[in-house]
Amino acid sequence: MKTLLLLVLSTFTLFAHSISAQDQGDRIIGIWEPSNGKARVKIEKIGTRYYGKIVWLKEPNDPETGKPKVDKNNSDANLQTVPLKGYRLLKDFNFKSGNEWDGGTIYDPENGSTYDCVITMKDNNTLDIRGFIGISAFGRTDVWKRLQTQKK
Amino acid sequence: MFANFCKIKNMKILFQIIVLSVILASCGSNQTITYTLKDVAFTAEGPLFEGPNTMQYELANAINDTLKKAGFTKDQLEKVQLKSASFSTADSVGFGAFNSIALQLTAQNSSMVNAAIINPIPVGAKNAELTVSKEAELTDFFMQDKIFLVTDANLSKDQDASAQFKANIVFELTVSK
Repeated sequence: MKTLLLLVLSTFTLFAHSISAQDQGDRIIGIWEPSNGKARVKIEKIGTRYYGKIVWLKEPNDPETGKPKVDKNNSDANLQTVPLKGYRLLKDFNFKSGNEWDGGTIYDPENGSTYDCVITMKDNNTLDIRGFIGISAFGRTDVWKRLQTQKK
Repeated sequence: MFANFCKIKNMKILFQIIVLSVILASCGSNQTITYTLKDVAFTAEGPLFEGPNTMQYELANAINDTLKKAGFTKDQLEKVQLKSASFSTADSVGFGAFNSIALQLTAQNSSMVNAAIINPIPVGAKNAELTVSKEAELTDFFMQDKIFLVTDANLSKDQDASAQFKANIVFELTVSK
């Protein structure tokens, strides 16, 4: 009877731990605004990883063409018509532990470059987005704010 | 003596040519197989908001049956390319306020790639043939058990109704014999 109770308790603990880790990772889900205020990015989960797409642009139209902005700097000519609104610029982030999501990339549509990226949640409404090439020490950090703020 | 030496030398060259030919022949012995996904359903529950709306389709153990039927295994898979992707709406209304569709692939151990795009969707169109990426490398996805096909469809205005697309997606598998 004791063994059975222990088995049930340990199974429950394991289950609770896995649910808790999932919840911890999902804290990043929401709509965020980079420091320059030019865009808003919705972070969502696909499979077990996290992705961020542009859902709003301060200047949605290209001043040169007057048409909605597209990914004109993409190296693949066939994809240069992908609209920036909806563009998934954060890709493939795994929840590491604590307040960090890593293993992902960030795309800069202004130059068509993709950088390695680590996301750190400073508090429930603030993200440090660090883009880098190779080593995290050589990179740049931008601070993103959650659009609909949550309780700290 | 000299003639014998020449014979041996010629034999060596001949042998090298044969080896090289075999290598070249084996390199050229790849076969292509078409893998088609028919009527893949992408659904987004309404109400839907102006901007990008994401729809997903989970593909488990893709290509296993196709390869098996053709007498191959995944180990023989050399390359996977997207050949075409065409979307249609489930009803006769057409794409309505949707003005672009992007198709992406992702999997647990691979980075998401943009595979195809149509922007803009011609007004009134009931079928949309996407332009396929020239560079998208898809082989790694198909070596995994689960692939996510992710569609981002841009809406030009809010709508209450759900959206359902059907897609026919064709891949070309290159396998080594």
